[in-house]
This record gives sequence, structure tokens and C-alpha cells, in this order.
Amino acid sequence: MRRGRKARQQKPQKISAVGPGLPGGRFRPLTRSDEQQVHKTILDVLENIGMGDPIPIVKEKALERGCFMNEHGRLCFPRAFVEDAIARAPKNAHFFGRDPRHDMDVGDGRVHTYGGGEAVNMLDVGASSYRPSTLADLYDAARLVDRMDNIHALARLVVATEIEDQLTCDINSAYVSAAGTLKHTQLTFADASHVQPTLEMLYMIAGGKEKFHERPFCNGGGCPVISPLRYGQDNSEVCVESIAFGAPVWVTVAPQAGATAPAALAGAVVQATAEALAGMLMVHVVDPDTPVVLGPWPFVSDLRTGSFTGGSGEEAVVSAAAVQMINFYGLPSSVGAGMTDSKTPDYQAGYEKALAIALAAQAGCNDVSECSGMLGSLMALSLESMVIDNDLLGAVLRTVRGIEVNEETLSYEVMQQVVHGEGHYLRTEQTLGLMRTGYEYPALANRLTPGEWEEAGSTDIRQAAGERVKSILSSHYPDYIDPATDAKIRERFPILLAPENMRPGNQRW
Amino acid sequence: MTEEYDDEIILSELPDDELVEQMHDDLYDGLADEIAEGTQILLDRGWSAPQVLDKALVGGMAIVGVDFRDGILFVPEVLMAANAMKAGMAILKPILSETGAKPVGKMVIGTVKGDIHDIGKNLVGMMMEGAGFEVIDLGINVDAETYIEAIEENQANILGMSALLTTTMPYMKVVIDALQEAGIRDKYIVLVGGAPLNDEFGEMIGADAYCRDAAVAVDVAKELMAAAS
Repeated sequence: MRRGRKARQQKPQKISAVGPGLPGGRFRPLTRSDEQQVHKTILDVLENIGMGDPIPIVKEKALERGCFMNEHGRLCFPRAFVEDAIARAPKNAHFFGRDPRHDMDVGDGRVHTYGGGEAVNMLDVGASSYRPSTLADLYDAARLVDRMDNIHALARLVVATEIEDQLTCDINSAYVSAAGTLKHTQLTFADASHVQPTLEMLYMIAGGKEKFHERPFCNGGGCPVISPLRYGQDNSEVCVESIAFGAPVWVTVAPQAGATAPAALAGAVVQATAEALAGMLMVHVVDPDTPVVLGPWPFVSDLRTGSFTGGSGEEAVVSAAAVQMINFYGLPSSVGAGMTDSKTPDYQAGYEKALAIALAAQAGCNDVSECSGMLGSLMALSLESMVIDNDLLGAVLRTVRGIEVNEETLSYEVMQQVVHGEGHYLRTEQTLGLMRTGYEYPALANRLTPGEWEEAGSTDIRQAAGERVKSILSSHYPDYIDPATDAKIRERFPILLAPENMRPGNQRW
Repeated sequence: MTEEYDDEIILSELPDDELVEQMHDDLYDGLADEIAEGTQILLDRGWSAPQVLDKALVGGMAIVGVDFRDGILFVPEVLMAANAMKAGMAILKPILSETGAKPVGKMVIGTVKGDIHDIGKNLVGMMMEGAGFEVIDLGINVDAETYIEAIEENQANILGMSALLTTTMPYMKVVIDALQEAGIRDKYIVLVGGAPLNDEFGEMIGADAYCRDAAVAVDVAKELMAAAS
């Protein structure tokens, strides 16, 4: 078969052994009986302990539907109501990219990965200390995510800390995300009143309100719970207002085991899942047709100091268990994974990230978040780390894909042919057929021989990563918002990233 | 797994020096009832309240502080110790204020307006109490007026503010500016803390210090109180 050398050389094919939506769920840290006990306790919590401080619209609609306020003034959800709501809630959530290539069908244990983390610092290429993150960093991060095959969608990776006005910050963050990537983008809002003006801008980018709502390439949501078991007003309002996107609403809770959740990991799973369900129920009573991505993110405390530790074994297993529970309910799930405590992209970062991301993905998490570039317990973004994580995610997704077992792959006949033939498999049809589609190749992981590695300057992966970041970001300046629309947007909204900072020749790269 | 200790110690039978040492141990173990009992015994034996505070309680908490810093004690244990300290303070406080003795210090603390994250702030409050400070906790979502009213009304020495969100951090400056405008900024030590903060931020907004964690907050508070007096 002629393979068309010239054609392939001119346009290298992108063949990968992995992709978005691989079915996960084989890792189950809880037994069937554990699941039942956790479930029962969750229902007890929601029915008897209930949630403090529901916002008026949620309280009103919940009471109308048979929920009640208990003697402590907390909103309680009867178990039948919770079970009905779970049964009624959308089980799948469709996320649109601005390019259909990036669409994601989320639900039923299908694994996807997200950038995200809302860090407030950057670790620059080659740097050994952090600096406050800016809007330009968020734009650069979006451009980089755009080119990372194993990061399937974007969320706010860093906060534009130089922008004081929160509405301006939210609008600008949405703008630079859309300018940097065609992948679906999950947005964050400091206040519910920011949702409409941001949507107005997204309508302009989409070419009209109807066009946006045909394929909403952004969605909104928030962290509506103050653990333990209390609604927070501002983010509750944001979650409810985010229904206006006509897209799935994300709801994330982050109770911290030992501090704001029980130290017993089973209790942390119960509370995180109950709180995530309480977030879902809040959206549900307002609009039962809006899909909610439930994010029970049980965090873990280092009880020596009281601070959050994202890189521990406890964090990895408790997050996987939380995913298992959301899958038990058949609802779309998200969880934070890869939130290493290491300050640089080093060995610690590597093992902590790999462990947590692998367990979350293997548990069948629909939206593995915070898995790209986060360092320092979510305090910083490193673009070097992001490109290394892209390799890591590829390898993890390959383990999620697992091993296809059938008559052909069991390879009895091939073995027989080889044993009686050439004595090796390198030239078999099977090897030729699988060498690209069955194997995932990292862009950065060093597989040279020690001699070759020394000849190439004995570089480590961080150096290689830095080169890759520079190479991509000095050349990948996409025109995802056409100049005419861009000018109109800038007339109407206070966009703080100048056009010259979005072209080659800026001082950053 | 845990070592067995002799629970049969009768505190009232111990001579003063052994009793003080036992109280240091009991603080270390977070035994509130025993600390209350020991405090009362020392007072009954004619010790002055400041003596009890200094030798038995603050002295014991200093050991706790060192072992916390060295990673021997964990946060929950330190909080138990702080709680035991508080039990002793409950007995000493009325006497101290009667005799006009100067307390270690008074702190007003709260999470700033817009922010509802309070676990770190609570930790600081408990540790400060453990070090003998009186702590007035204003809770979450605290605005400038409330802070100022509370420090003035309670004649506090220290104002502590925390924020977890970058969106709420700037409000700390609003509060400090309000103190300036009211012409009372120099009357108070202003300490700030929270995960996204750093030294530069503390300096920029005009705080006296940024405290990385609760233990640092206690040390810094003590230092600045000593420098101010």
C-alpha cells in the first residue's frame, strides 16, 4: 500500500490512541454495600440536617414542592423528593465548542479533562518564584489549551489580579478565553449581575443571540456552598442566573476533610456529595430541565498545619469515591485532580498529579478539573506544567481506554505466524495497524537512550516544556474573533487586553 | 497505641512547682477541666492572677507553640490546648480586669466583606486565644464600619482581617483607608491573612504585617504588642 509520503510530510496526521469521552468507571474505591451506606447517609443529611441559608427564590420553590424548614431554620429535602429529583435530572450534559470538533457529550462515566483552577499567581518559564497573574496570562493559557490535545475544555486557569472591578474582570476573562481557544469554556462570575452583560458580549462573538444559544460555547456556574452544609448567597445567585446560558450549570463544593468536613474519609464523601446534590437541587427547583454538572470536590487538610493539601493519597482516593457516588446517581460529575502541593513542575508534582488524575479518570469522572498546569495547591499556574500535564493526561487516558480483548487482539494466529516465520512482530500487519492508533506518544517525555540524552545536552523535562511553550505561544495567535466584531466589542465593553498584546511581537514571547 | 498515663494525680496535693509543671502537661494534652482546677488551686494558694497567667498558662502554651512549629503537635491538638487555656482564662479574666492588670492583648477579627471563607480566620482566633489574647470574632462578610465600631468599642489592640478570594482582598485596603480617614490608624496593629495574600500585598495596602499562618499570627502579634508598649 502506498502511504503517500509527501502528503503525510506536508500535513502530519494527528492520530492519537486517546480522545475525549473514553468510558471510565472501572476503579471503584467503594464496594456496592459501601455505596448503599453512603447513599443512605446522604439522604439522612439532606432530610434531617438540611442546608442553611437558602436564597429566597430557592427556598420558596423548594417549599412549594414539599421541602421544609426544620426547627433550626434549615432547608430540608425529603428523601423521596431527592430521589425524584435525581431520577428527573438530565443525565447527560452536552458541551459545545466553537468548533464541533471540540463538542463534548458528558455523562455516564465518559472521561473529559478541563483546564481550570483560578490561581492567582504565575510561575514563568524557567522562574523559581511566583508573580501575580494577569489578564494576558489568562489569554496565553487559553491559547496554549487550544493546542493541547488532551485538555478538552477550558475554565478560568488564572485570575486577572490587576483588574479591580469585578464585572470588568469577568467580562475580560470571558473575552480572552474566546479569543484564545475554540474549546468549550466554563465561566466564573463574582456576582449574578455579571452574567447578562457577559452573555451580551458572547452573543456578539457568536454572531447573535440565537446563534449563541444554538451552540452555547460557554457555560456558567459556581461554588454555592459554604461547608459544612450552608448555602452561600452570592454564588447561589450566580448558579441560578447561569441557567440563562441555556447550557449545563456547573456546581462545585469543596469541603475540607478535618476542617470543614469530617476527617473520616467516608464522612467527607458523604458531606461533599450531599452538598453537591444540594447545589443541584437548588438549580433543579428553579429549572428541572437544565443539566447540572455536580462537583463534589472533597479537599483534604494537612492536619499538621491546617492547610489544604491537594497532592495527598487521601485526596486522590476520596475524590475518586466522590466520582463513584455521582456515577451511582447517574449524574454528570466533576472533581478536582492534579492539585499538587509542589511549587514547581518537579518529581513531587509529577507523582501527585498522576496519582490523583489517574484515580479520578479511572473512576469515570466526566470533567476532571484543575488537571492542567496547576501548582502550589492551586496557588499558581505554570505553562511548562501544562504542556507536561498534556503528556500525563494522554498516558492516563490511555489507561482509561484499557485493553480491548477479542479474538483478533488475543493474537493467537499472529503468534503462530511469527513463531514459524520471521521471529518478530515488527513487520506484521497488526503492528503496522496499531503502532499509531493503539499507542499514545508523549510530546515531551524523554525516551532517548542515556547516550543520546547526554549528547542532546542532558536536558530535563522542564527545559523541554519551556521550549514547547515558547514555540507555541510565539506563533499561535489565532483570529477566533474577527477584527470587525472585535472592534465592536471593544467599543461596547472595557476590554483591557490591547490588540498589540494579541499579536506576534508583543514583549511576552 | 497511646501511652498510659497516671490519671490518679491529685492536683491539690502537688507542691507549686510540680503543679505548674503538671499544668503545662495538661495544657499540652488539652485538658480543660484540669487546667481550670489547677488555676483555681494556684489562686487559692495566694498566687496573683498575672502570675498564674504568665507561669502556668502562657508558659505552657509556649511549649505547645514550639512543638507545633516543630511538627510534633498537629493543629487539632493545638486547638484542644487553646481550649484548655481558655478554661483557665475564664477564671483569671474577672480578677485581671478587677485588679487593672494589663491583659496580653485584645484582637478584633473577621473575614472581610464579600468573603464567606472563615476556617483560617477561626484558626487564628483560636490560636490567639490560646496565647492569652482576648478575641472578638465578628464572623464573615464584615464591612469597614463594623470593624471600626468593634475595635473602638472594645478598645482592642489588634485588628485582624482575612480573605480567601482575590476579589475580596482589596477590601482590606478599604478598611485600612477608613481607619486612616477616621484618624485612628496608628492606634491599632493591623494584621492580614489568607491564602492568596503575601508580604507585598500586606505592605501595599498599609497593614502592619501579613501573617502566613495562625502560628505566625500569634508570634507577630506578640512581637508588635511588645514593640508598641
